[in-house]
Amino acid sequence: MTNSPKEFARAVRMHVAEILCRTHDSHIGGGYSSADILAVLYTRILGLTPDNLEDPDRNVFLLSKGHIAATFYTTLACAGLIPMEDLALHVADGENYAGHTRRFVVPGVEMSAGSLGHGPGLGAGVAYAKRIQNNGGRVFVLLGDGECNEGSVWESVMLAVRLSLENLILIVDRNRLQSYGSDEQVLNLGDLSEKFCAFGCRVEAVDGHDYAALEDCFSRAGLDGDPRPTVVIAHTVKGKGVSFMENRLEWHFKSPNQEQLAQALEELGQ
Amino acid sequence: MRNTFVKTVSRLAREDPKVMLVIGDTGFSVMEPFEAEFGERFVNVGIAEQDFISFSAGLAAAGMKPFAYNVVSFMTLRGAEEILLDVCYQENPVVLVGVGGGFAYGPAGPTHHALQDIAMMCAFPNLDVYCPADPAEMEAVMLTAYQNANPAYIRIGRSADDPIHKLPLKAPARKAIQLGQGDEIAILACGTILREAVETRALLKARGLSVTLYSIPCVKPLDVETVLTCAGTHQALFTIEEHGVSGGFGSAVASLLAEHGKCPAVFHRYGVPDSFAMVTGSREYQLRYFGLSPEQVAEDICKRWEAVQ
Repeated sequence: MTNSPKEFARAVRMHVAEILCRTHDSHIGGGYSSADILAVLYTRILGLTPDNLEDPDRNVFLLSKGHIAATFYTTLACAGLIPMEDLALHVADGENYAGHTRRFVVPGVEMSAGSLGHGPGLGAGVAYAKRIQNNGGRVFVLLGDGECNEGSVWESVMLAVRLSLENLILIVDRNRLQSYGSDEQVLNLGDLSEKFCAFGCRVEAVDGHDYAALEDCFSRAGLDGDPRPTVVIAHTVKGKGVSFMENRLEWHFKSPNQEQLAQALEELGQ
Repeated sequence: MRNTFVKTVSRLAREDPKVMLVIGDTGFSVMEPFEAEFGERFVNVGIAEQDFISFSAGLAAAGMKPFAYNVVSFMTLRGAEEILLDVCYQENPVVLVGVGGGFAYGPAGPTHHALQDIAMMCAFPNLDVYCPADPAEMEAVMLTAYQNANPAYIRIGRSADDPIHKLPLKAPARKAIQLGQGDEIAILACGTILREAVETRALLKARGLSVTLYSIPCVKPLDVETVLTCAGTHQALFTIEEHGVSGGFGSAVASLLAEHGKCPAVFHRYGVPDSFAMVTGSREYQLRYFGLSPEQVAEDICKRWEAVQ
């Protein structure tokens, strides 16, 4: 598979459109807002292969917004961690590819997710365990901005700062749309950078669709002597890459029909 | 039992560098020696029960063996989803240790009473549920939980619980422990109320009744063999626990008996009814209020026994 994040993300988005058209599963919008982040992580940063998934010094990636399972499975397939054929098994009866990711049953899935707000705490635990066992590698946690409604996120951030977990990198997919409305309409999180700063994190805001900027940010996080955990606020567009999905709340739930699939594939192929 | 906890976790931590202690801002004046001896293997996560569980699960996911110590009511209710999803579902072997089971914090009021935790924890897959009654059982239970490397929940009382058993028990602690043999009535006691059950047996004995008494330190998995044998060899069987009767230890026994068609002539579950504590009171006061003092239970057992003679 390609090591160009752009081509990687393009392939992921095209597969995901096909999978969700076939299965009528939701969450294409949040998958597309995260696709470029995942592409950069899996082509340039994490260095995960089928042979090092048990290595205690590996980088650990935790998907806290587990509802973008189709996008994550496709990412794992494009990264060579699971067979491409397995993408046909998404939400299939009797198989292991649930609508929310499950640990142990799919190689490369390090956390079972589905309920929001669990990743930061689990990630902090993994990061701390790495430190006291003198294990290398960093811990990346991808969460949604709506997920930051959960109080547990902030509990975990306080502890991560208190323990100076510099090897913990929280990436917030800041697409500004959640389930029932926009962030502003629901709780209005306001300036998330300021909030995480006030909690004592090192915060970097970045265009979540700018591959070079993401790579630069992820390459440095936790490796330059700053003892604070890093929060990357990745400003993204929900449904990114397909014109009729971009910034449309309903694509949190909808899946493309055949006609929409054709148009999506055409746009994504360009 | 808190002291037994600290002593035992310290011993395990000396033998195994993976053993850790995580607290939720509780255990003042008890946990300091562990912190002093093991440094970074001690973490106080603050008053944050959700993170308390998720963080401990993350430690376990990355190879550590955390004992996570907190107040029962807050840990099992506020942290319930994290226990279910981060510990049980993801098979992260955290040993959860809850202090303040039942009415241990009696006068503090219903926010601090723990009367639903056994029911809840028993409903969670992949989780072993222990209710040790005294320091000897506590040590045995901790060693068993550590050796099994399975997610576990251990529910204890408060601080200075006097010993009931004379000798240290041998791990594993999943079996019932016999404290008296009789042939008419059997009492199965779970957890800290064993102390009262011992007195109840003495009172019944003084009235000429022949009573078997078992302590059941492990509710899940239950010692099925002992429970069924007791039911088959006694005319009357009673369970007693410092917990709501709904979904607790007695319910587990009742289900087992019903499924095996082994219900004796008399069966009753002693516990707290579907109610909050109605008034303020110490542990002993609350037990009396709900009819769970040794005298009240002995009296009630006599009535039930005489009714079928």
